[in-house]
Amino acid sequence: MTHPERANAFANNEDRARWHDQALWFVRDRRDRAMQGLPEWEGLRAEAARIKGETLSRLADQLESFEDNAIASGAKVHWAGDAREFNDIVLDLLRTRRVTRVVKSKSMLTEECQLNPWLEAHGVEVVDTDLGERIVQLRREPPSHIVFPAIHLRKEEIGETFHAHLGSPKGLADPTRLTEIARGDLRSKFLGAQAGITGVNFAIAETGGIVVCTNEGNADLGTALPPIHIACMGIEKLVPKTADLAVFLRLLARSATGQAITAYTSHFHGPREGGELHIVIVDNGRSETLANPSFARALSCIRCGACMNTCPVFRRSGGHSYEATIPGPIGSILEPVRDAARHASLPFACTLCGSCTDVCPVAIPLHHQLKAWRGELTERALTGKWKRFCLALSRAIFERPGLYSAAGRLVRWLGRRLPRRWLYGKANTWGIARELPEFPSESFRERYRRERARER
Amino acid sequence: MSASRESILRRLRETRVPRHHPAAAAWSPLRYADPLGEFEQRLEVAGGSCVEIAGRDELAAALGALAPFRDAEKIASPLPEILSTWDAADPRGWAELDFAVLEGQLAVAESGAVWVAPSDSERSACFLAEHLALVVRRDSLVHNLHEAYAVLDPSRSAFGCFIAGPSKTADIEQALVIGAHGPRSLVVVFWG
Repeated sequence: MTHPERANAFANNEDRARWHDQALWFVRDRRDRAMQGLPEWEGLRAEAARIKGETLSRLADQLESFEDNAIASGAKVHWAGDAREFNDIVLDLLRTRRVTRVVKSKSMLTEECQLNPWLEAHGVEVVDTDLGERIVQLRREPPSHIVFPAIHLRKEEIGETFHAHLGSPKGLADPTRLTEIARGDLRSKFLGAQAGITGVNFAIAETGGIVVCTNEGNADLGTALPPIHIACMGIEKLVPKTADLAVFLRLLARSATGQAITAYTSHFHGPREGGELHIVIVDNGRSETLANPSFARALSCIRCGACMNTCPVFRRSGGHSYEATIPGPIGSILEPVRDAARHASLPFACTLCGSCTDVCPVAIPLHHQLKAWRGELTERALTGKWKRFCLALSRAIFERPGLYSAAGRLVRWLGRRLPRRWLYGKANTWGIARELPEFPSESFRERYRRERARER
Repeated sequence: MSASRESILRRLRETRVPRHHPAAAAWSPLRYADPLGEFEQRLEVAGGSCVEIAGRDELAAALGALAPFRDAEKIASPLPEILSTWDAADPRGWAELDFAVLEGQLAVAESGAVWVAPSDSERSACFLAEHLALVVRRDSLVHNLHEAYAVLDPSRSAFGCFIAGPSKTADIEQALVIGAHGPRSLVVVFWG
């Protein structure tokens, strides 16, 4: 299935689609207000883009110094080339310590590598502790947004899920009471866990430390209680210096939710006494993305989700329509690098309006990259046959002025005479939800020529 | 050294990433005419509250004016001014804690955040307690995060955290709910 087909299913539920659109626009609006509170916003963005650009251009050195410093602080560092190796490393760490109960805070990397099913298949219980992630985990669904994993669901649906899994009263749909029920359930999971898995928002090369941001405090409980902390990071998470964190933290929460900073911004340097800190550094295709000059800058992404909240297509089609770990504009760039054939429809889920580029806190030229992808996919014949036929036909016509004029005359003549059911036939996808303009009797050039002749 | 480590680093070294030099206008981080007022406003938006006292001797009375503290049975605090009524040997032992009072090292006006670097056992108390108070010197208040990191060295402790409000979530229909996992309220006490 392609993005338009999946989006169709979402958009057909008009109430939900409208609500989803408005909920995300509300977040976009809060982001705007937070951004306007910082007169230096554009300077900060440029600084963030510069730091990320420099880090990516000497990533091997940065990773080595991060590793040295992390080891010096008492952490253990592991390297995984791909998802399979990453899953094996984590499973092996848990198995050798006889761990069967794990709590996990948000990590898109573990989603990308499908760590949960792998651990569950080997007898390890993994509980997602971010409320949104817990909701979709109970429903056995993937998250639909990287910051708001359950943004596609209504509170009544979440009430039903909690009724089925957590024994909440039937019909309960009050967010406060539902959250309280989840709190009680997850508290027991935190207290019973033998290990905590977290993602990493930023890794600091000069100190070997990692930073994790949450609003719920779930990463903190998940690492303060069990003695083993496994932190999972992609190779692109590095910043060179501690002072650089100021730049990124000021941008991240403002862009993500409109907050000045998340409720908890936790810095880890080594394990706590008697505990273990393992940092797993994962490539899984990132070094290939970096080697592709058209898309390398997409690796600067700090996963704020602002491009999704602002995207007119995302807001109206829902995150699941992308069928990708990272949906939305940034996902439509990153995912095809991994598997171009599978994600070939994503760069076309875009109106090229450029709003994503405007809001991106690290100034990734998102819509330019999406346009570049379209060219590349067409060249590699990964777009649909019909689209390619239409493009070839258009090109043949546009290259020949005489043919262009003749084709125009033919279409105007047909457009005014063909019956509606022919005009709005299967080939006219543009006309599914729109009316064609009225076909004029003469072209602009014909009219120009006529009026010039009269003037003379 | 794992084979993957070598191959990842080799691949990265073989890649020439074009340097990107964005044109940046000169900028300087925002400072405030009234940083304490800004802090209070930020923290309030985030669901926390602020108290000011002249000296540490007023701390117990200031906390005593707060309902969650008055109602608390199990209180934990490493501060000499506050009498602890609960202690735990194991991190999980703080699960029943009603109120924790901890020392904050620094406050950031622009984010309404307080930096804490708790010890291992304070650390779980800090997140398991139903309510949390952070006690900070008034002159430790800085304007923004750039100034904060110029003063702080997070690598000096295994764990350090900016706390900017109570635990919260908006994962159900974007409705803000305070008390997702950790403390249901946060009060920051400025002294000095």
